[in-house]
Amino acid sequence: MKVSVGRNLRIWHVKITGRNIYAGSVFTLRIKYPPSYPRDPPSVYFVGPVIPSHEHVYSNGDICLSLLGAGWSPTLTGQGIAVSVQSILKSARRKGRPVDNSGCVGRKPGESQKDWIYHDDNC
Amino acid sequence: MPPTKRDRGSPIPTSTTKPSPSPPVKEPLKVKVKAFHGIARWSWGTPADDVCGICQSPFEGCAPGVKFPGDDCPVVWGACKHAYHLACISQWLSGGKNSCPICRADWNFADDS
Repeated sequence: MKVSVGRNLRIWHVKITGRNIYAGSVFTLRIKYPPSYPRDPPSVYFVGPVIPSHEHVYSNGDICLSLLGAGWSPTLTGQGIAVSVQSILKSARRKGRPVDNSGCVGRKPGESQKDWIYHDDNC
Repeated sequence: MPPTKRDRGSPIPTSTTKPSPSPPVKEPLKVKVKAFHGIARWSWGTPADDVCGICQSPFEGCAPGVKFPGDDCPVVWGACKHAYHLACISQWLSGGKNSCPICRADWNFADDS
């Protein structure tokens, strides 16, 4: 993983190198810390050009990850989130999109996940 | 006649005890203290170099938004034994969640904090 930060220290871009079924791909995760961090989670989503095809990653870049919503804790860090995302990619057995992807593609990525319902215990 | 072994060495010692040295004379130390610089250290009793899990600042330091360390930025413990700056855990609890950020157990302040 490689983190780059520009002038705005609140926005990180994390390059994640694909492993296993994503070998050969490199993905970029955008992490934006709101002023209310760490009480509220950062906004985290994948940015193009390649969004990983994963059953918990929407094609708009949003990630279905409970840590970013109901499971948020103020002790979590950007590094910890990036490692969690790396982990869900690495452990994936097959590619695909979330079942409700078509209903979410028009949504702006990175909005609050406060009211999200998570699909399974792993994510 | 060749010399015998006995003739070569010194006479056989009759006793191994040496005369005991006289006890040291206690003289006063010739140092005069002109001034001294006292240094004290304080901590909240958390492990050395430990940081608050919420703000990642040292417990003996300041939480964000607090001006001075010490009494202005106290450390509190939960019943689960996890410690945070009072300012940090208060902000988290005010967000509607009543859980410890580390272990997610229901948050209760420890009796002595």
